[in-house]
Amino acid sequence: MRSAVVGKFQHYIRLGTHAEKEYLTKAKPLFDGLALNANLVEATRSALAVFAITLGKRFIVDPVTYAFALDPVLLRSTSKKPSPQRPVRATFKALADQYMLPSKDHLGKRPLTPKEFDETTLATFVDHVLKYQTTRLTSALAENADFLTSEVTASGTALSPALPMAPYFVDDFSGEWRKTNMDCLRIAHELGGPAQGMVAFDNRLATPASLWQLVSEYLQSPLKQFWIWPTDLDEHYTPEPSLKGYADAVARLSGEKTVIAAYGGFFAILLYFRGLAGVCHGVGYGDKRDLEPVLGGGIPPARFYLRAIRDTIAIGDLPVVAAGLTDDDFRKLVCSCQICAGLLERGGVANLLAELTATEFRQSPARGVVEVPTGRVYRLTRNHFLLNRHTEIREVTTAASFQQLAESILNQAQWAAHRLSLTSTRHINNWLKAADPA
Amino acid sequence: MRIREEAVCVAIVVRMERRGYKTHREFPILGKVADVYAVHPRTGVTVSVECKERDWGRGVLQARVYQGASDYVYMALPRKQPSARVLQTLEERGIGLILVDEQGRTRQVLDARRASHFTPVLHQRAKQNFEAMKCALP
Repeated sequence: MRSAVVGKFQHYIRLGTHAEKEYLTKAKPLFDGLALNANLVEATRSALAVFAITLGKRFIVDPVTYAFALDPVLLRSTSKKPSPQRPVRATFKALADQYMLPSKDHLGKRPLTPKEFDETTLATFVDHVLKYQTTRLTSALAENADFLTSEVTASGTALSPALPMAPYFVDDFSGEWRKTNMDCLRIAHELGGPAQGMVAFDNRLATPASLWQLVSEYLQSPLKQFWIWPTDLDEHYTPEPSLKGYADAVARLSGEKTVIAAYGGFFAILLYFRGLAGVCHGVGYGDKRDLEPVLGGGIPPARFYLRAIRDTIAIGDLPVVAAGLTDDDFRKLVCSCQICAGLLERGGVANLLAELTATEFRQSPARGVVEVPTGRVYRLTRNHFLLNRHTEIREVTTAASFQQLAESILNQAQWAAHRLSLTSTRHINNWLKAADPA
Repeated sequence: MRIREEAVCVAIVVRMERRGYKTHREFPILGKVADVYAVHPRTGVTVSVECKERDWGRGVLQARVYQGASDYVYMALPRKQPSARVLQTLEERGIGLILVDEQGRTRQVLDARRASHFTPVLHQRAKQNFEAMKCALP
C-alpha cells in the first residue's frame, strides 16, 4: 500500500551548469520544476532570472547552507595558480554575506559549527536565507531592467520559488547539528511565510535505529513539505539493507509530510510506492550527491541510458546490446524514444550505432591527441535520458501494482543481463526488495 | 620472472608485423583504447589486442567493446598456461588468446571469432581512423 502521497508525482531537474539550459528548454514538457543551487544563483543571477522566466516552470532554490559546515578547503577557489592559500570562492563569500552568516571572518579557514549561533543570530540567519530565495533573482532583474525586454521585467514579480527552503546542515547522527536544524525549521515556520525543509543525513553513518530517531524528530516539525538527501547514497552500489533503511525512512516521513528526493534515480522513483511525492536529478548525471564533492575530473564520458537495466552503459557497450536486433526489436527491447526513433528512421540500428558512437579528435594539453565523443553525441544521449526518465515516471506512477511493475522490470533486466553480464542488473533486485511496500 | 604489460605489447606488435599487418599502439575504439590495433593492408582484416599483465577480467570487458569494430579481438597474457576459467570465458565470448613468454615469444592458444555485435559501420570508421592516424605520424 502506498502511504500518504497527495497529488501528482513531482519531477524536478537540477541545473548543474548553464550549458544544461539547452536541454531543459527542449525537455520543458517532460518535467515539473527546476532546482537551482544558491551558489549557481549567486554566480549568475541575471542569466538565471531570465532563464527561469523564459522556462516558466516552478522552481526552488537550494540554499546549500550545509556547505559552510564542510571542510573549508571546499569553499576555496580551485584555481591552478600557485598561492599559499587559495581565496574563498566569491559565490560562497557573497552567500555568507547575504545569509548574515555568523563568524564570516573564519570562512574558508574553519568549518561553521552550531556553537556560533545563538537564538538571535540563528533567527537572523534563517530569515535572510529565506528572503534570499524569494528576492535574489527578482532583484537581479531590477538591477538590469534597462537591458531587458519589457516582457521579462514584467514577469519579474512572479520570480519567487514555489516554496523557500529553510537552512539545513547535514546530520551525521552525532547530534551536533540536529538541534540547530530543528530550530531552523521552527524559526522558518514562526516567520509566518510558507517554507519547506531538507532532511539531509550522512547515509554512510545511518543505521535503522538512528534513521528512525531522525525521522521521529522531523515529524515533530510544523513544516509540511521536505526534501530528503541521503548523502553518498549511490542507488546502484548501495547494499539492500541500506536502501531499505532509506525506503523505510521515506515511508514513515511520507505518512505525515510531503517528501521529495533531492537527488534520486530510478530507485527513488520506485519509492513512489512508499509515499515519495517527487524526485529531483540532474541532466544525465546527478542522481546522487556526495557530502564532499569530487573536484575536477574533466568532462564525463558520454553514456547511453539503457532502460532495461535502469542505468547508463558505456557507449562502446551499445553494439553489444543491439547485436542482431531489427529496428522493431530495438524499439521494443531497448528504446523507442523520440531520439532513438529518429536515428532508426535515418538508417536503422546501424545508423543509430554510428551516430551515437561518433567521435572526433581533439588536442589535450595533458594527453596529446585524444578521441572524444562529438558534442552531438552528448546532446543525443542526454535528451534520450530525459525522455526515458519521463517515461519511467509515468510507467511507475501509472502501474497497476508494485508486483506487476516489478515483474515487468525484472523481465527487461533479465534480457539485458543475458546481453551484458549478471552484475549489470544486481542493483535491480536490491531496489525491488527495498522498495516493496508489502 | 615477471613479464610486464609493455613487454607483452611489444611482443604482439612484432608478431602482427611479421604476419604482414600494419599496427598502431594505444588505438582508440568506441571510448576505450586498444593496446594494439592492426590492419592487414592486402585483406583489410582488422585485429585488436588487449594486453594485460593482470586483471584479465577487466580486459574481457574492454575486448568486448573492441569486438564491435574489429574483425578479430585477442587478449594477450604473460603466461605459460592459461587457467581453465580464462579459456572458458574467452571462448564463450569469441575472444582469442595469445600467450607471451619471457623471451617475447608468442603462442596463440585460442582462435578469435567475429562477434555477433560486430558492426560494419564501426569497423569502417576504425579503419579510417587508423589511416588518419598513420598519416598524422611524423
